[in-house]
Amino acid sequence: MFPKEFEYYAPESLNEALSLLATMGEQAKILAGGQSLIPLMKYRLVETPAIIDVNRIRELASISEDAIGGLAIGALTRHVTIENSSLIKAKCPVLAQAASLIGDAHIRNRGTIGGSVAHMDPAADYLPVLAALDCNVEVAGKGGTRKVSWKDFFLGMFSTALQPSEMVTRITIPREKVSKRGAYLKLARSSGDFSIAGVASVIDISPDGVCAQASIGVGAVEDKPRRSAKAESALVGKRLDLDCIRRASEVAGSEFRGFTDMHATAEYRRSLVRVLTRRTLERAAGIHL
Amino acid sequence: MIKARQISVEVNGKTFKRDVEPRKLLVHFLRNDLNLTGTHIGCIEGKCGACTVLFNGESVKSCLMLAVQADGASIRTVEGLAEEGQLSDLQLAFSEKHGLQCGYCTPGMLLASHALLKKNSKPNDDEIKRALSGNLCRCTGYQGIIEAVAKIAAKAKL
Repeated sequence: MFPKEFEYYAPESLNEALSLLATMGEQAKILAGGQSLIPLMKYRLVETPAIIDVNRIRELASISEDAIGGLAIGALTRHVTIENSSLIKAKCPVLAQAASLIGDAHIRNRGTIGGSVAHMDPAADYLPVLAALDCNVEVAGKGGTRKVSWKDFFLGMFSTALQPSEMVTRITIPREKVSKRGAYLKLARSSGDFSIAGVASVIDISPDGVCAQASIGVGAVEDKPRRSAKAESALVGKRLDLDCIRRASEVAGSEFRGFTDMHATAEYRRSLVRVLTRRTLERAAGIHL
Repeated sequence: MIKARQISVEVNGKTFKRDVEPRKLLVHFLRNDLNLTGTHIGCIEGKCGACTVLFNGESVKSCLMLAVQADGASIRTVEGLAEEGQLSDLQLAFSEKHGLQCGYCTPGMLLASHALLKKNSKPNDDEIKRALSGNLCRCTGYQGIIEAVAKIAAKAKL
Protein backbone atom coordinates (compact mmCIF):
# COMPACT_ATOMS: atom_id res chain seq x y z
CA MET A 1 0.00 0.00 0.00
CA PHE A 2 2.37 2.60 -1.23
CA PRO A 3 2.21 4.75 -4.34
CA LYS A 4 3.64 3.89 -7.72
CA GLU A 5 6.96 5.61 -8.49
CA PHE A 6 6.89 9.28 -9.40
CA GLU A 7 9.24 12.19 -9.96
CA TYR A 8 8.96 14.81 -7.24
CA TYR A 9 9.23 18.58 -7.58
CA ALA A 10 8.92 21.13 -4.79
CA PRO A 11 8.80 24.59 -6.40
CA GLU A 12 9.27 27.57 -4.10
CA SER A 13 7.29 30.09 -6.18
CA LEU A 14 4.04 30.15 -8.11
CA ASN A 15 5.91 30.94 -11.34
CA GLU A 16 8.12 27.89 -10.89
CA ALA A 17 5.05 25.71 -10.29
CA LEU A 18 3.27 27.11 -13.34
CA SER A 19 6.28 26.54 -15.56
CA LEU A 20 6.48 22.91 -14.38
CA LEU A 21 2.76 22.52 -15.08
CA ALA A 22 3.14 24.10 -18.52
CA THR A 23 5.74 21.47 -19.42
CA MET A 24 4.12 18.46 -17.82
CA GLY A 25 0.39 19.18 -18.03
CA GLU A 26 -1.51 15.96 -17.38
CA GLN A 27 1.72 14.14 -16.54
CA ALA A 28 1.80 15.82 -13.12
CA LYS A 29 -0.49 16.12 -10.12
CA ILE A 30 -0.44 18.89 -7.55
CA LEU A 31 0.25 17.87 -3.95
CA ALA A 32 -1.12 20.33 -1.41
CA GLY A 33 -2.45 18.95 1.91
CA GLY A 34 -2.32 15.43 0.55
CA GLN A 35 -5.18 14.27 2.79
CA SER A 36 -7.16 13.10 -0.24
CA LEU A 37 -4.43 12.61 -2.86
CA ILE A 38 -2.07 10.45 -0.81
CA PRO A 39 -4.74 7.90 0.18
CA LEU A 40 -5.78 7.67 -3.49
CA MET A 41 -2.17 7.10 -4.50
CA LYS A 42 -1.68 4.48 -1.81
CA TYR A 43 -4.68 2.60 -3.17
CA ARG A 44 -3.24 3.20 -6.65
CA LEU A 45 -6.54 4.71 -7.72
CA VAL A 46 -4.34 7.59 -8.82
CA GLU A 47 -1.04 6.96 -10.57
CA THR A 48 0.98 9.88 -11.79
CA PRO A 49 4.45 10.18 -13.35
CA ALA A 50 5.15 13.35 -11.37
CA ILE A 51 4.10 15.20 -8.25
CA ILE A 52 4.36 18.98 -7.90
CA ASP A 53 4.42 19.71 -4.16
CA VAL A 54 3.13 23.28 -3.71
CA ASN A 55 3.49 23.43 0.09
CA ARG A 56 6.55 25.66 -0.10
CA ILE A 57 4.77 28.38 -2.09
CA ARG A 58 4.02 30.63 0.89
CA GLU A 59 2.43 33.32 -1.24
CA LEU A 60 -0.52 30.97 -1.85
CA ALA A 61 -1.53 30.88 1.82
CA SER A 62 -3.37 34.03 2.83
CA ILE A 63 -6.69 35.41 3.99
CA SER A 64 -7.52 39.00 3.10
CA GLU A 65 -10.31 41.48 2.71
CA ASP A 66 -10.33 43.84 -0.23
CA ALA A 67 -11.13 47.56 -0.17
CA ILE A 68 -14.87 47.01 -0.63
CA GLY A 69 -15.31 44.06 1.75
CA GLY A 70 -14.89 41.02 -0.50
CA LEU A 71 -12.81 38.15 0.89
CA ALA A 72 -9.93 36.33 -0.79
CA ILE A 73 -8.46 33.07 0.46
CA GLY A 74 -5.27 31.64 -1.00
CA ALA A 75 -5.48 28.07 -2.26
CA LEU A 76 -2.83 26.81 0.15
CA THR A 77 -4.67 28.11 3.24
CA ARG A 78 -5.15 25.22 5.66
CA HIS A 79 -8.55 24.29 7.09
CA VAL A 80 -7.24 24.97 10.62
CA THR A 81 -6.25 28.50 9.60
CA ILE A 82 -9.69 29.23 8.15
CA GLU A 83 -11.34 27.68 11.22
CA ASN A 84 -9.43 30.01 13.55
CA SER A 85 -9.19 33.14 11.40
CA SER A 86 -10.50 36.14 13.30
CA LEU A 87 -11.27 37.88 10.02
CA ILE A 88 -13.39 35.00 8.70
CA LYS A 89 -15.11 34.42 12.04
CA ALA A 90 -16.03 38.10 12.20
CA LYS A 91 -17.08 38.67 8.60
CA CYS A 92 -18.20 35.31 7.21
CA PRO A 93 -18.42 32.75 10.02
CA VAL A 94 -20.22 30.09 7.95
CA LEU A 95 -16.92 29.38 6.17
CA ALA A 96 -15.08 28.90 9.47
CA GLN A 97 -17.88 26.59 10.63
CA ALA A 98 -17.48 24.42 7.56
CA ALA A 99 -13.69 24.29 7.99
CA SER A 100 -14.09 23.25 11.63
CA LEU A 101 -16.20 20.24 10.64
CA ILE A 102 -13.78 18.80 8.09
CA GLY A 103 -12.28 15.46 9.11
CA ASP A 104 -10.27 15.71 12.30
CA ALA A 105 -7.57 17.94 13.83
CA HIS A 106 -4.71 16.25 11.97
CA ILE A 107 -6.50 16.49 8.63
CA ARG A 108 -7.32 20.14 9.28
CA ASN A 109 -3.65 20.90 9.99
CA ARG A 110 -2.66 19.83 6.48
CA GLY A 111 -5.73 19.99 4.22
CA THR A 112 -6.19 23.12 2.11
CA ILE A 113 -9.18 24.90 0.62
CA GLY A 114 -7.56 24.93 -2.84
CA GLY A 115 -7.04 21.20 -2.68
CA SER A 116 -10.61 20.58 -1.59
CA VAL A 117 -11.95 22.76 -4.41
CA ALA A 118 -9.72 21.16 -7.08
CA HIS A 119 -10.51 17.63 -5.87
CA MET A 120 -14.28 18.18 -6.07
CA ASP A 121 -15.43 15.35 -3.83
CA PRO A 122 -19.21 15.89 -3.84
CA ALA A 123 -19.32 15.30 -0.06
CA ALA A 124 -16.69 17.95 0.75
CA ASP A 125 -17.79 20.42 3.42
CA TYR A 126 -16.67 23.66 1.75
CA LEU A 127 -18.64 23.08 -1.45
CA PRO A 128 -22.22 23.92 -0.35
CA VAL A 129 -20.83 26.91 1.57
CA LEU A 130 -18.90 28.20 -1.45
CA ALA A 131 -22.04 27.72 -3.56
CA ALA A 132 -24.13 29.68 -1.07
CA LEU A 133 -21.49 32.43 -1.03
CA ASP A 134 -21.41 32.58 -4.86
CA CYS A 135 -17.64 32.26 -4.74
CA ASN A 136 -15.26 32.52 -7.65
CA VAL A 137 -12.29 30.25 -8.16
CA GLU A 138 -9.13 31.88 -9.48
CA VAL A 139 -6.98 29.69 -11.62
CA ALA A 140 -3.52 30.20 -13.14
CA GLY A 141 -1.99 28.34 -16.08
CA LYS A 142 -0.46 28.50 -19.53
CA GLY A 143 -3.04 30.97 -20.76
CA GLY A 144 -2.59 33.31 -17.80
CA THR A 145 -5.03 33.70 -14.93
CA ARG A 146 -8.78 33.45 -15.06
CA LYS A 147 -11.67 33.74 -12.63
CA VAL A 148 -14.34 31.04 -12.81
CA SER A 149 -17.68 31.18 -11.00
CA TRP A 150 -18.36 28.20 -8.71
CA LYS A 151 -21.11 27.03 -11.02
CA ASP A 152 -18.79 26.88 -14.00
CA PHE A 153 -15.95 25.40 -11.95
CA PHE A 154 -17.65 22.51 -10.12
CA LEU A 155 -18.69 20.25 -13.00
CA GLY A 156 -19.37 16.89 -11.39
CA MET A 157 -17.93 14.18 -9.16
CA PHE A 158 -14.14 14.77 -9.01
CA SER A 159 -14.47 16.95 -12.07
CA THR A 160 -13.69 20.65 -12.36
CA ALA A 161 -13.00 23.17 -15.10
CA LEU A 162 -9.24 22.97 -14.48
CA GLN A 163 -7.22 22.47 -17.67
CA PRO A 164 -4.09 20.25 -17.58
CA SER A 165 -1.64 23.14 -17.18
CA GLU A 166 -3.69 24.96 -14.53
CA MET A 167 -3.86 25.16 -10.78
CA VAL A 168 -6.19 26.86 -8.31
CA THR A 169 -4.61 29.96 -6.74
CA ARG A 170 -7.39 31.74 -4.84
CA ILE A 171 -11.00 31.52 -3.79
CA THR A 172 -12.85 34.83 -3.62
CA ILE A 173 -16.17 35.73 -2.04
CA PRO A 174 -17.90 38.79 -3.50
CA ARG A 175 -18.72 41.60 -1.09
CA GLU A 176 -22.49 41.21 -1.59
CA LYS A 177 -22.39 37.65 -0.29
CA VAL A 178 -20.10 38.16 2.69
CA SER A 179 -22.49 37.85 5.62
CA LYS A 180 -22.43 37.34 9.37
CA ARG A 181 -25.77 35.55 9.15
CA GLY A 182 -24.84 32.11 7.97
CA ALA A 183 -24.73 28.56 9.25
CA TYR A 184 -23.50 25.21 7.99
CA LEU A 185 -24.56 21.82 9.28
CA LYS A 186 -23.74 18.34 8.06
CA LEU A 187 -24.79 14.85 8.93
CA ALA A 188 -22.19 12.12 8.85
CA ARG A 189 -22.25 8.63 10.32
CA SER A 190 -19.43 9.35 12.68
CA SER A 191 -17.06 12.17 13.51
CA GLY A 192 -14.68 12.95 10.69
CA ASP A 193 -16.66 11.22 7.98
CA PHE A 194 -17.63 12.91 4.76
CA SER A 195 -21.22 14.21 4.78
CA ILE A 196 -24.25 12.23 3.81
CA ALA A 197 -25.84 15.68 3.43
CA GLY A 198 -24.57 19.19 4.15
CA VAL A 199 -26.47 22.47 3.96
CA ALA A 200 -25.25 26.05 4.20
CA SER A 201 -27.73 28.88 4.66
CA VAL A 202 -26.63 32.49 4.29
CA ILE A 203 -29.14 35.32 4.61
CA ASP A 204 -29.31 39.06 4.57
CA ILE A 205 -31.98 40.91 6.53
CA SER A 206 -32.84 44.49 5.57
CA PRO A 207 -33.28 47.18 8.25
CA ASP A 208 -37.08 46.71 8.26
CA GLY A 209 -36.66 43.05 9.29
CA VAL A 210 -37.47 41.48 5.94
CA CYS A 211 -35.28 38.88 4.23
CA ALA A 212 -33.40 40.69 1.46
CA GLN A 213 -31.27 37.78 0.29
CA ALA A 214 -31.19 34.06 0.91
CA SER A 215 -28.69 31.48 -0.33
CA ILE A 216 -29.09 27.82 0.43
CA GLY A 217 -26.16 25.66 -0.66
CA VAL A 218 -26.77 21.92 -0.69
CA GLY A 219 -23.91 19.45 -0.72
CA ALA A 220 -23.33 15.71 -0.81
CA VAL A 221 -26.75 14.77 -2.12
CA GLU A 222 -25.91 15.19 -5.79
CA ASP A 223 -22.75 14.91 -7.88
CA LYS A 224 -21.85 18.56 -7.24
CA PRO A 225 -23.00 21.35 -4.91
CA ARG A 226 -26.36 22.94 -5.71
CA ARG A 227 -28.38 25.94 -4.71
CA SER A 228 -31.97 25.51 -3.65
CA ALA A 229 -33.39 28.30 -5.80
CA LYS A 230 -37.04 27.51 -5.07
CA ALA A 231 -36.49 27.58 -1.31
CA GLU A 232 -34.55 30.82 -1.66
CA SER A 233 -37.39 32.57 -3.47
CA ALA A 234 -39.79 31.34 -0.78
CA LEU A 235 -37.79 33.39 1.72
CA VAL A 236 -36.91 36.63 -0.04
CA GLY A 237 -39.24 39.47 0.83
CA LYS A 238 -40.66 37.64 3.86
CA ARG A 239 -40.20 38.05 7.56
CA LEU A 240 -38.28 34.98 8.71
CA ASP A 241 -40.21 33.26 11.46
CA LEU A 242 -40.20 29.56 12.31
CA ASP A 243 -43.19 28.86 10.03
CA CYS A 244 -41.72 30.62 7.03
CA ILE A 245 -38.47 28.73 7.54
CA ARG A 246 -40.23 25.41 7.94
CA ARG A 247 -42.10 25.91 4.66
CA ALA A 248 -38.94 26.90 2.80
CA SER A 249 -37.10 23.87 4.13
CA GLU A 250 -39.86 21.60 2.84
CA VAL A 251 -39.34 23.14 -0.59
CA ALA A 252 -35.59 22.51 -0.31
CA GLY A 253 -36.24 18.92 0.72
CA SER A 254 -38.09 18.19 -2.49
CA GLU A 255 -35.94 20.20 -4.84
CA PHE A 256 -33.26 17.52 -5.36
CA ARG A 257 -33.56 13.81 -6.06
CA GLY A 258 -30.52 12.72 -4.09
CA PHE A 259 -29.03 9.27 -4.61
CA THR A 260 -28.89 5.94 -2.81
CA ASP A 261 -25.62 4.35 -1.74
CA MET A 262 -24.35 2.27 1.16
CA HIS A 263 -24.58 5.22 3.55
CA ALA A 264 -28.13 6.39 2.89
CA THR A 265 -31.11 6.22 0.56
CA ALA A 266 -32.11 9.08 -1.71
CA GLU A 267 -35.24 9.48 0.41
CA TYR A 268 -33.20 9.88 3.58
CA ARG A 269 -30.90 12.38 1.89
CA ARG A 270 -33.91 14.46 0.82
CA SER A 271 -35.21 14.33 4.35
CA LEU A 272 -31.81 15.47 5.65
CA VAL A 273 -31.82 18.40 3.26
CA ARG A 274 -35.19 19.46 4.67
CA VAL A 275 -34.05 19.18 8.29
CA LEU A 276 -30.62 20.75 7.79
CA THR A 277 -32.10 23.61 5.76
CA ARG A 278 -34.52 24.35 8.56
CA ARG A 279 -31.83 24.19 11.25
CA THR A 280 -29.30 26.30 9.36
CA LEU A 281 -31.90 28.93 8.47
CA GLU A 282 -32.99 29.13 12.08
CA ARG A 283 -29.38 29.57 13.18
CA ALA A 284 -28.62 32.08 10.43
CA ALA A 285 -31.71 34.10 11.38
CA GLY A 286 -30.78 33.86 15.04
CA ILE A 287 -34.09 32.31 16.03
CA HIS A 288 -33.24 28.70 16.74
CA LEU A 289 -34.56 27.37 20.00
CA MET B 1 14.01 3.86 -11.51
CA ILE B 2 13.37 7.18 -9.78
CA LYS B 3 16.43 8.79 -8.22
CA ALA B 4 16.49 9.04 -4.46
CA ARG B 5 16.59 12.51 -2.91
CA GLN B 6 18.59 13.54 0.10
CA ILE B 7 16.56 14.96 2.93
CA SER B 8 17.64 16.52 6.19
CA VAL B 9 15.12 16.08 8.99
CA GLU B 10 15.28 16.93 12.67
CA VAL B 11 13.60 14.20 14.72
CA ASN B 12 13.29 14.52 18.49
CA GLY B 13 16.05 17.12 18.46
CA LYS B 14 18.55 15.18 16.36
CA THR B 15 19.25 15.88 12.67
CA PHE B 16 19.28 12.99 10.21
CA LYS B 17 20.42 13.13 6.57
CA ARG B 18 19.11 10.29 4.46
CA ASP B 19 18.40 9.37 0.84
CA VAL B 20 14.76 8.53 0.16
CA GLU B 21 12.61 7.64 -2.83
CA PRO B 22 9.93 10.32 -3.32
CA ARG B 23 7.14 7.80 -2.81
CA LYS B 24 8.36 6.69 0.63
CA LEU B 25 5.78 7.62 3.26
CA LEU B 26 6.90 9.57 6.30
CA VAL B 27 5.70 6.79 8.61
CA HIS B 28 7.85 4.21 6.80
CA PHE B 29 10.84 6.56 6.91
CA LEU B 30 10.50 7.00 10.68
CA ARG B 31 9.99 3.31 11.37
CA ASN B 32 12.32 1.70 8.83
CA ASP B 33 15.01 4.27 8.04
CA LEU B 34 15.34 5.76 11.53
CA ASN B 35 14.28 2.68 13.54
CA LEU B 36 11.78 4.76 15.50
CA THR B 37 9.13 2.09 15.72
CA GLY B 38 7.06 3.85 18.34
CA THR B 39 4.98 5.40 15.56
CA HIS B 40 2.49 2.72 14.54
CA ILE B 41 0.68 1.82 11.36
CA GLY B 42 -2.94 0.91 12.09
CA CYS B 43 -4.98 1.28 8.93
CA ILE B 44 -2.56 2.81 6.37
CA GLU B 45 -5.63 4.57 4.96
CA GLY B 46 -5.30 7.69 7.05
CA LYS B 47 -8.32 7.05 9.28
CA CYS B 48 -7.05 5.60 12.57
CA GLY B 49 -4.41 8.11 13.72
CA ALA B 50 -2.00 5.50 15.11
CA CYS B 51 0.66 7.12 12.91
CA THR B 52 0.23 10.61 14.42
CA VAL B 53 3.44 12.60 14.88
CA LEU B 54 4.19 16.29 15.37
CA PHE B 55 5.38 18.07 12.22
CA ASN B 56 6.74 21.53 12.99
CA GLY B 57 4.71 21.38 16.20
CA GLU B 58 1.41 20.38 14.58
CA SER B 59 -0.20 16.97 14.77
CA VAL B 60 -0.28 15.17 11.41
CA LYS B 61 -0.90 11.64 10.19
CA SER B 62 2.50 10.46 9.05
CA CYS B 63 1.00 7.88 6.70
CA LEU B 64 -0.49 10.78 4.75
CA MET B 65 2.82 12.55 4.19
CA LEU B 66 5.83 11.75 2.06
CA ALA B 67 9.24 11.62 3.70
CA VAL B 68 10.52 14.14 1.14
CA GLN B 69 8.01 16.64 2.50
CA ALA B 70 9.85 16.52 5.83
CA ASP B 71 13.06 17.95 4.36
CA GLY B 72 14.00 20.85 6.61
CA ALA B 73 11.24 20.10 9.09
CA SER B 74 11.24 19.32 12.79
CA ILE B 75 9.43 16.17 13.86
CA ARG B 76 8.51 14.80 17.27
CA THR B 77 7.61 11.15 17.71
CA VAL B 78 6.52 9.35 20.88
CA GLU B 79 10.16 8.53 21.58
CA GLY B 80 10.69 12.26 22.05
CA LEU B 81 8.19 12.72 24.86
CA ALA B 82 10.12 11.31 27.79
CA GLU B 83 12.88 13.61 29.03
CA GLU B 84 16.15 11.94 30.10
CA GLY B 85 14.37 8.60 30.36
CA GLN B 86 11.66 10.01 32.65
CA LEU B 87 8.08 9.64 31.48
CA SER B 88 6.36 12.97 30.92
CA ASP B 89 3.45 14.05 33.14
CA LEU B 90 1.10 13.22 30.27
CA GLN B 91 2.53 9.71 29.91
CA LEU B 92 2.24 9.15 33.66
CA ALA B 93 -1.36 10.36 33.57
CA PHE B 94 -2.18 7.87 30.78
CA SER B 95 -0.69 5.12 32.91
CA GLU B 96 -2.51 6.18 36.07
CA LYS B 97 -5.92 6.65 34.41
CA HIS B 98 -5.71 3.41 32.35
CA GLY B 99 -5.66 5.36 29.11
CA LEU B 100 -4.07 2.38 27.38
CA GLN B 101 -4.43 -1.40 27.20
CA CYS B 102 -2.72 -2.90 24.16
CA GLY B 103 -0.86 0.34 23.57
CA TYR B 104 -1.24 0.37 19.80
CA CYS B 105 -3.05 3.70 19.54
CA THR B 106 -1.14 5.18 22.45
CA PRO B 107 1.74 6.95 20.70
CA GLY B 108 -0.78 8.68 18.42
CA MET B 109 -3.03 9.54 21.37
CA LEU B 110 -0.09 10.95 23.33
CA LEU B 111 1.10 13.17 20.50
CA ALA B 112 -2.41 14.37 19.64
CA SER B 113 -2.95 15.19 23.34
CA HIS B 114 0.44 16.84 23.56
CA ALA B 115 -0.39 19.03 20.55
CA LEU B 116 -3.73 19.98 22.12
CA LEU B 117 -2.17 20.92 25.46
CA LYS B 118 0.42 23.08 23.72
CA LYS B 119 -2.37 25.08 22.04
CA ASN B 120 -4.80 24.98 24.96
CA SER B 121 -3.42 24.07 28.36
CA LYS B 122 -6.85 23.84 30.01
CA PRO B 123 -9.14 22.01 27.58
CA ASN B 124 -12.55 20.88 28.75
CA ASP B 125 -13.83 17.37 27.96
CA ASP B 126 -15.49 18.47 24.72
CA GLU B 127 -12.29 20.11 23.53
CA ILE B 128 -10.32 16.98 24.41
CA LYS B 129 -12.73 14.75 22.49
CA ARG B 130 -12.59 17.06 19.50
CA ALA B 131 -8.80 17.13 19.49
CA LEU B 132 -8.60 13.34 19.70
CA SER B 133 -11.40 12.58 17.22
CA GLY B 134 -8.76 11.60 14.64
CA ASN B 135 -7.35 8.86 16.88
CA LEU B 136 -9.21 5.57 17.18
CA CYS B 137 -8.88 3.16 20.10
CA ARG B 138 -10.31 -0.36 20.09
CA CYS B 139 -9.49 -1.25 23.69
CA THR B 140 -10.23 1.44 26.23
CA GLY B 141 -13.55 2.96 25.20
CA TYR B 142 -11.77 6.34 25.40
CA GLN B 143 -12.85 7.30 28.92
CA GLY B 144 -9.44 6.64 30.50
CA ILE B 145 -7.74 8.61 27.74
CA ILE B 146 -10.00 11.62 28.27
CA GLU B 147 -9.44 11.45 32.02
CA ALA B 148 -5.68 11.34 31.54
CA VAL B 149 -5.69 14.51 29.44
CA ALA B 150 -8.22 16.11 31.78
CA LYS B 151 -5.90 15.42 34.68
CA ILE B 152 -3.14 17.42 33.00
CA ALA B 153 -5.66 20.15 32.18
CA ALA B 154 -6.72 20.29 35.81
CA LYS B 155 -3.11 20.60 36.95
CA ALA B 156 -2.72 23.60 34.63
CA LYS B 157 -5.67 25.28 36.29
CA LEU B 158 -3.95 25.38 39.68
